[in-house]
Amino acid sequence: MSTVQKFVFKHNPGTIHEASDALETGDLSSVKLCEGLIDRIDSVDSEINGFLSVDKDQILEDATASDSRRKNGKELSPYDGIPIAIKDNISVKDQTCGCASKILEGFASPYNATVINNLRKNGVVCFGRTNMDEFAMGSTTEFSAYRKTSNPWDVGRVPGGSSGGSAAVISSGQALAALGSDTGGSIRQPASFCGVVGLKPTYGRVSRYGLVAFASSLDQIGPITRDVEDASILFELISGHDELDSTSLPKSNFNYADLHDEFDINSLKIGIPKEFLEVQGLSTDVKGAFEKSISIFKSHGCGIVEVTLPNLAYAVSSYYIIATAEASSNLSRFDGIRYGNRVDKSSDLLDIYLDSRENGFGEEVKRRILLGTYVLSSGYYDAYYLRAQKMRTLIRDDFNKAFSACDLLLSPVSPISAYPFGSVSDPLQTYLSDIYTIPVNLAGNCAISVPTSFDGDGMPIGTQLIGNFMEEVKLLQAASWFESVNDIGKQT
Amino acid sequence: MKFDVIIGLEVHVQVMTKSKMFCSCPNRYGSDPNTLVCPICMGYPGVLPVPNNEAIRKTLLAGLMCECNIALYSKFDRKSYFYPDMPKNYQISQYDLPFCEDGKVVISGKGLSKEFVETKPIGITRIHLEEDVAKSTHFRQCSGIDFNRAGVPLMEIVSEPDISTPDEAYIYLTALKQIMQYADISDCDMEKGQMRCDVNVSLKSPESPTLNAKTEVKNLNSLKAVHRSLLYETERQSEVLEGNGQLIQQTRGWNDDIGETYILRTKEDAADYRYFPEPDLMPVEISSDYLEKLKKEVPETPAQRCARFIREFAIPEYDASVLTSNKSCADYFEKCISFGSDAKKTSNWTMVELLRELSQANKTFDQCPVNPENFAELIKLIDNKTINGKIAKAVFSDMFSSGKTALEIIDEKGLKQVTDTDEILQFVKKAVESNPTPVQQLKEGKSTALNFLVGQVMKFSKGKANPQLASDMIKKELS
Amino acid sequence: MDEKSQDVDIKHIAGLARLNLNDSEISRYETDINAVLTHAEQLSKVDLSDVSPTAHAVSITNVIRNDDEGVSMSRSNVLDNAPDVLDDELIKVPVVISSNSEDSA
Repeated sequence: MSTVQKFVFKHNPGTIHEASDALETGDLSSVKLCEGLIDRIDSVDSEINGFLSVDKDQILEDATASDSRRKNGKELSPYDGIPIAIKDNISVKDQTCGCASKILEGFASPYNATVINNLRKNGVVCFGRTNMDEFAMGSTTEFSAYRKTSNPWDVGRVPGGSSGGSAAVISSGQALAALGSDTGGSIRQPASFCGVVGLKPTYGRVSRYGLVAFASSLDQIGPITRDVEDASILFELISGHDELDSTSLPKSNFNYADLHDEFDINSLKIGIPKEFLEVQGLSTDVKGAFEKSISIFKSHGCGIVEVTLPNLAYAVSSYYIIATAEASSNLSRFDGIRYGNRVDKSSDLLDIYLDSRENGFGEEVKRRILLGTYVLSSGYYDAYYLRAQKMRTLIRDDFNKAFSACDLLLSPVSPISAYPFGSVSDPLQTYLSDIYTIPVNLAGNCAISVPTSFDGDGMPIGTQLIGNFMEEVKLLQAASWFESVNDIGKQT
Repeated sequence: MKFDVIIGLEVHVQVMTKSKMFCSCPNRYGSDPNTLVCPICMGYPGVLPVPNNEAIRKTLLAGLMCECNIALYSKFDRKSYFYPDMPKNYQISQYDLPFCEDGKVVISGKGLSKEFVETKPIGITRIHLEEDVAKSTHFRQCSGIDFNRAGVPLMEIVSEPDISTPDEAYIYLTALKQIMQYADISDCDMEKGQMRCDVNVSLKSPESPTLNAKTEVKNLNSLKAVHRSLLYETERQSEVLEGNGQLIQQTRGWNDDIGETYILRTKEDAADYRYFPEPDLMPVEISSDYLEKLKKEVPETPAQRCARFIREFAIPEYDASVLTSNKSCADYFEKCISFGSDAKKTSNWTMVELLRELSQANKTFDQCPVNPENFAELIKLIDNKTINGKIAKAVFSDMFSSGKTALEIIDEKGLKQVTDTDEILQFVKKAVESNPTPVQQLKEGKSTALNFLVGQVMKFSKGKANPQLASDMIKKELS
Repeated sequence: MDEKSQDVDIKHIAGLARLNLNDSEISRYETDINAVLTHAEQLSKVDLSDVSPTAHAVSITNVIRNDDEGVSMSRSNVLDNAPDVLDDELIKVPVVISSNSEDSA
């Protein structure tokens, strides 16, 4: 029996919408649903390592409360009692929020992130903390300080990252859906690697309050789910303006019902940035999946136009300058003074800083802090940071131009599919593989990764649809349509 | 050799608001340590700042009071350095686009050394808004941090190096303080850390066009400390130069106990603050409508008020400047006048009696037990001869301690001035009968004798007789 | 970056970032970071002189709040999270600079 069949799980109800229907009819209770998932965790997570912690008592307590609300006809929403797994960088009051880092070991957050409040208002049960690259820095989840999460399709391979835990627990049937965060592809790439759906919303549509910041101007929380419908449901629950987030957009609430607006594939125009096929290191399998997607849209009467993103080649450089600069500043608060881990070997303040940060941060986090500190340091700001910000302007302009010629862009998610642990170790090479996802964060647009096909080793490959600013309706309609007409090939 | 002294000040002023700069924790002094904090001002993981509208408004107001240009487009930046009093290890501040730039404060008057400084404008380079840091208390073995102050809105007011003497620095700071108090921007209580000062001093020989390396002295927490440290630094730097030594740019601290500065760091290990635009905050645009509205809210400056007092109330310049040096004092005075008391007399009584009682009781005008209405009434009672000046002083002292009105006290103690001529005549006759010598002298034209006799009448009447009336009646009696 | 970018002084940067690095870490990070910066030199080939920088993904302004007082945390919660505490009211750190009262701001 292949590992694929052992770990990749398809059962009913496997999605939010199926579970919601079953809860509605009374065929299922929240407690039963959660118990089932906990059983699944007990049987497979020792090999997947997707969760960092699961507070079973709390989950069952919340599920029981939900069931009694529903029994009394007082359910808070159709999704009351639905369990959602939470990435370890999103604050849930009184739960550990460690960002898979030693420096926050044992730290319990005293407050709820806005997305958590939004979920709780709808009766959603917070279902465990999922593993990630430390402080969301990485694209394999190997940089977690605690454990390596395996790809459920082949446990010898990476699940992608940084939201690798979230993607893996969904594809291995340990959760219905999860929240992830995406700074340069951290939702879309693991979704693609694990054969699930990942949505990065338009910057400012989902509150960042309570998301431990990696790069403030790029971070966005989004759903990782089994299908596009679930992504839409979860996006509706978490989106909306938040007074606690100054970068939150006004009128940013997404209405699931808007998806029922008329959608005609024949009047849709998909842009293919010509630079996307010329990316170095684009694997044959990924290229094949991308061409397959294009032909699916084309064959159903969708207009395909060639567009150009002339500054694509500069995106990775700009991104890694901006993201690490912001990160170096955001992570300076972790110093062992007010909370978290203090390595207290001496009575000297400087030593507390140095030792706490030396022991608290892992290799990749240190690398990025150093790079970010350097590009902001005296004498280098104009040469690096300012130039990167200017390039960001050009990249955003490129997208604006492209969207004047089409409704959505189609793209691979990553030039390669899930690879064996340890096979890519050069940092620059890893950074360069973010080429398809990074430009979207720089521009602030929305994008989704939808499972498309499999590579020669049976690993899933996703396709990325990119939408213009605030155009999630169009994005999700097209993604949902694509999902419904595409034969993913190999089924489990 | 005598050097020119070039001084520039960086003044931090806490802005008076209900809540902190970027979170809703109360902005309040004197609470128990670490009780006015939340995840935001503690820099917990995942929190985000949202700027306080009122802190921005008051900063703009300060800029207008100091005749600054107000930036129509402004933003916040992060300033990075590690220090345990700074929760995020970066401070949200403003770097290249502060709210206010290019203003001035005109100074004149007496400095701490009582030397008079002629009218002189001191340029304001910029006023920007940032967040205050926590309060550290230092013990022998460790330090303890109270984060209540962390995140309190803090303005930094940077002056041009237009100041040439410690006295000028003193007057400039006093003027800034008055401005802040006038616009309700800050109480500027230096003991409470609401106003803190860093000074930059450098020397230049009159023949040379170039400045010597400057010294920055940080954390001066009283006007006196500013004055003293400037004197000290001027002397220290002069001595180095006179001994043919070389000054290096450095940052120094101030030890108030021994009255000396000490080195903190030199330029070589100057901090690299790595400023960059705060990604968590959006830029601030000031519309011309808002700016116009704000301009209408700008209160009179102390200088304007002083001029108006002279004009409107016909009081001497000295009186006006004393009264307007403290906003609550000026408010109190004006309130009294609105109740109809005589301006000059009210001014005298405020400057002498009221200020003395307040300072003895260690109270501010806001805590004054005698309200302006009652104070005005007391002065009117003197004017309409209900009581004389001497009794009024006793009555006022009583009012101040008991909180009663002047009339209540006068009634209670029967202090009403006697204006009944029959009654006074009794005292006059008694005085004349029992003092033949002075009577004789008065008859011979010696006017001091009249004063003595009036004094006798006052004594017999226990101070209640109207002295003018008594005087007239003595003269009449002897004529 | 108009000139060739020089080798990064990792030790100095690590000091700014308060990171303690051993020699092998220093040389490894030096290699990694120089590789990224060398790649980033491509940015200097683009004429960006007339381009304005983008600091935010969204262009909104004046996001401010009213000056309303809210609720603070309980002190016990604050102190429970702190690694070291003094007299049940202050957060304890080693002595900072000198015995004089000192603020960083």
